[in-house]
Amino acid sequence: MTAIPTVLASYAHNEALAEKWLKVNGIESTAARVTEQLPCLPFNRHGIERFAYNGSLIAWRERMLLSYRFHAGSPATRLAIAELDDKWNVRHKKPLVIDAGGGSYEDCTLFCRGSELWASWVQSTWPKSPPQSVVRCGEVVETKETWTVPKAITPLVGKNDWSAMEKNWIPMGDSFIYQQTPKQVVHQLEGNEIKASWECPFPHWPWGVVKGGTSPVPFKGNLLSFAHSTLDNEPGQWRRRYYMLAVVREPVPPFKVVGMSKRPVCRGSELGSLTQTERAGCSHFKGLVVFPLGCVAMADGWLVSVGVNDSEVAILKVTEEDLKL
Amino acid sequence: MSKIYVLLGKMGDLIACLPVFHMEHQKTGEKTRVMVSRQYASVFDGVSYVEPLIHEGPAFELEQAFARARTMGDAVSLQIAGEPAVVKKTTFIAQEKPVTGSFVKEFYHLAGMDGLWETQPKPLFDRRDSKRETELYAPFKPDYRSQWKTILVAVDGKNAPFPYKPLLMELLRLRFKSRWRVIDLSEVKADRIYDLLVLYEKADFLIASDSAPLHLGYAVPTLPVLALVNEKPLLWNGSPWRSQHVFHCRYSSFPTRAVEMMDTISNATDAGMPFGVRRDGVNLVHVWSQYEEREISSHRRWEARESWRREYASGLWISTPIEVGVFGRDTRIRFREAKPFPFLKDVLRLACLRARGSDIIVLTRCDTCFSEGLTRSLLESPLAWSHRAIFTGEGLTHHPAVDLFAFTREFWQAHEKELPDLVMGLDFAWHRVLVEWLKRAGAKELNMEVWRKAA
Repeated sequence: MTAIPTVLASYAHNEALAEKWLKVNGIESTAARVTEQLPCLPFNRHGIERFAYNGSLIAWRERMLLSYRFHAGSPATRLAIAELDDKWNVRHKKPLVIDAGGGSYEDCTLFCRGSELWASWVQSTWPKSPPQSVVRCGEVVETKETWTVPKAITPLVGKNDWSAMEKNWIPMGDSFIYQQTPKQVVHQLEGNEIKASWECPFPHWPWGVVKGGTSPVPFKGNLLSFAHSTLDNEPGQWRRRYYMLAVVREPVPPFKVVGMSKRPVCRGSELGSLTQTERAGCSHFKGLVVFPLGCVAMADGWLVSVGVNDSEVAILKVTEEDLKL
Repeated sequence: MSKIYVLLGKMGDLIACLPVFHMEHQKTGEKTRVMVSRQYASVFDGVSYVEPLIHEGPAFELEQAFARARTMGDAVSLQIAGEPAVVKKTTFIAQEKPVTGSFVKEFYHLAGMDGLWETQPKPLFDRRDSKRETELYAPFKPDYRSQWKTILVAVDGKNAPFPYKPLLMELLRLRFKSRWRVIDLSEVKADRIYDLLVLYEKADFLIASDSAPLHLGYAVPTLPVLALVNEKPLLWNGSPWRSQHVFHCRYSSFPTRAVEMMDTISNATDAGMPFGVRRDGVNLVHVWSQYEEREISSHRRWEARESWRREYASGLWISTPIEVGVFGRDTRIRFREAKPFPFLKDVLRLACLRARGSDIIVLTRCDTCFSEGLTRSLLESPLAWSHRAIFTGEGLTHHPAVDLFAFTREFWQAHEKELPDLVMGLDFAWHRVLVEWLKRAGAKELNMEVWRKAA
């Protein structure tokens, strides 16, 4: 016989009272929407594929480009790049076509390597279980109908050989920040091989393991990037909450960390801008997610593109004060 | 018709009701008329504001006394001791059953003075006899050595007898004999019970079971009281916690808490203890639940206390543990659960009894460690909350549970009604509500200012 778990009457009492109280007081989440924690641009998410997410914004040759991932009727995702006008409307969008084997193309980061536009992305076997993935990169070339990466490379770093789940690398010119927590590891590449590597301590961050983030931009003689971290200790439906933080590094090897947010710049929320109907129709919705992938420096701060709850792209306006350094 | 209170006895109940009678006197400007059994009427010799109406029969003749009082005025019975059917007909006329957590609070409720309890009024004896007191004190005077401290013990109540007197006296003898003077009040013959106040005023502690000497202790608010409290047939039948209590223990818990009681006496002058704190500015009333201590390792609790001590050294903190069994209700009674937990509002109301106007009530877990500087942060931001942080070898890690809530007594009184009647258990629900309640009032989140070690 299977034992039936007993819920303590006092727990049920509290649950019922709390649920009623929160409802009466209009409290729907444990944190405000990501787009309410920081000002955000009026980016129209309906201009790109439905429920597209994890956007990476970049200013390149007087153009504002945004890459993102989206589902096209399957658990695996594809990538695309939209061009935004000066009012943040989508001027046009084209698929990012990568002829490098199948699978799921995820979390594309746009970055500059010299004057060239490059992309790095995660390519995974998802939805196969257990999933495996590699990080790949290459120069992005625009054609009339598409963006393409004619010469994608798979850096020979770590376990980037389909034997594990490599992801969350931060591209930085010809280098990658391969790992942050518990120690920072940076690899400089030549082709797909490591030319040089540097290691240095990475400060303890109370909001979990620091992973991935935006390609660094200059900041007061140093480099600034936004990363995410996660903690798997939430009590509700979504066990994992994502936090966004700022990391400041020296501009030269080993790219020592000289500053970090004292508190999260923002944190994932149960809520996004999806309506209840939309949310019900979004099978890949995942609460409590904020996932920064792109950063553009402005005169008064930065525009940081983030994925929200695996179902939206938002572009946040971040000031120096918001960095909480 | 003026009001006549009916309370035939016994002595403890009459003393417990003196604040009610005094308040009635202040409201009307006349002496408060109280029908009382002759056997216990002598207590009113010590007060100027009561006109006793003597009932010649014993204290259990409530029905007859009440009927007589009704012929004389607007009779209000406060008597809850007696035959249940009679008590129901006379005392519980407007209510089906008791509505408060203790019989003492019920007196106030029956008199329509619930709010008076929150002020923790003292029973006022304004007609004491100095001649009798001098005579009573005389035999003790030569033995009151300046360097000795005095513990008064009164555990011989008849109605709710304390079953562990020999154990208590032996522990006191072993622990304090060489340095303290222990006076068993059962061996002191006083003409009037309130003559004992002369001893109370010169003592350092009162240990009292649920009896008249316990209630008399509240006439001397500067006297630390260690209360041994009845629990039968219900927790309601025990005296409630008062701000004077440095230790509050149900009879059945005494054997397991006896050493804690002795420690309380020994440590009475430590930082954070209620009677060693200056009360001329804003204080921080630290309240935590001992109900949850059994779930927590002793090492984690010890670590927390060490961190508290560092902040208590500021001289501003008043430690206020919520002792198991302190309330008239808990989850064991309400939900018949094996492990009791208190109700959140009871906990915070208790803290309010010790706090004054702008004092800050700081609610934490029993194993919540304070980071250095927490006192300053709370004084700067009295309306605040802090998530739990878990300490590992690498540093602190954020946890979504909230382990500290702070607000002023004034804030609580203004906003208490907004909160539902939640249990302060081990679940997330109550602190989810409490933190949102604070957030919407603009409370500040303190960052990593409280923590605990990883399990």
